[in-house]
Amino acid sequence: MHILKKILRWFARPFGYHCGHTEKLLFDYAEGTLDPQIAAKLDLHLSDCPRCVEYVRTYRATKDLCCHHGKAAREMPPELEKKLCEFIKENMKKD
Amino acid sequence: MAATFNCGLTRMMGMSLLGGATSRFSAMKSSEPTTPNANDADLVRRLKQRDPDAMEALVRAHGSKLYGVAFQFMRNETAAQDVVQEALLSVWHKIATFEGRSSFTSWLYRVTANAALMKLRKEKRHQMDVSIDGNKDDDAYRPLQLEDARPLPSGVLQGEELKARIQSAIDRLPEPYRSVVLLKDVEEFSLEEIAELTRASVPAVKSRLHRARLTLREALLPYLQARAEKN
Repeated sequence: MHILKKILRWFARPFGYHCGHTEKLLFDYAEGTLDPQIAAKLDLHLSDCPRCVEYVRTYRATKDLCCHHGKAAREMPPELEKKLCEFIKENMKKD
Repeated sequence: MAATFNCGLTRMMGMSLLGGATSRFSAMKSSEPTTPNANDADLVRRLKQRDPDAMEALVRAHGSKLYGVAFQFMRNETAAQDVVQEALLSVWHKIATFEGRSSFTSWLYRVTANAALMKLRKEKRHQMDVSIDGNKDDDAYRPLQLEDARPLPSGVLQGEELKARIQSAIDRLPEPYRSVVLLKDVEEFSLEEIAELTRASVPAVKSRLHRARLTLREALLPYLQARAEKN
């Protein structure tokens, strides 16, 4: 398996991707919007580059953390609905 | 890059934004399992007939969600209240421009987000030292510098503390990066929706979002590494 990987890497070398590609393609790769053929090439690079794997992992994790914990959920204060209705009376009912 | 944020944001605030958008807002959809489409249609009809009681009905039906959106951007109860009031005024004055190409709730959300962004600009809450012009954007993929780039501690944080740290990191992003992260990763707008809302190109939005994420990643890195080790 290891030898097969090396052979594949050797064949992919002239056309293959390197760490710079990870940097450039990371956004679309993480979003899942990268062209499948390009993603496959990047996957090949990732299969042999722990640094890039870690880079992609932490990038995705950052996105997920923002998604799950970034929301500053706040209930509307009970008195605000009344205030807003008064605001409406003042500003719209006089139109 | 060194151009000011202001002129771009002025365009961003253009009220034509409020007119019949085709996009929809996913978070809004997901939080409305029983979206009263018929009620909304009735609300819109009454609003277009200039019925002020319909505004009160709107507050009762949607006020809480609008407040949540406003608070997301403002992080301050009083400012969020001001934003909701501004949004209600916009609804009252701009309802004629609502053409029904998007859902009413989606349109309301956009009006509120727009009011919040406008208020942020007025308050000059952030250092607006970056261009928001979609065509002059952003040296590719260079992380921003956070004003106070305290990383998370290298322990595994839980619950409210983790949430507070992440929100703090987002809040330290300069505009328009903070807004883009809030719109995409927190509120789950599509790139196209954000581009429309901010009057920027989709590539510009992608670039800003990517830079913002790289910056947040840097700030969160110790925590991310500790979490990986624990797992």
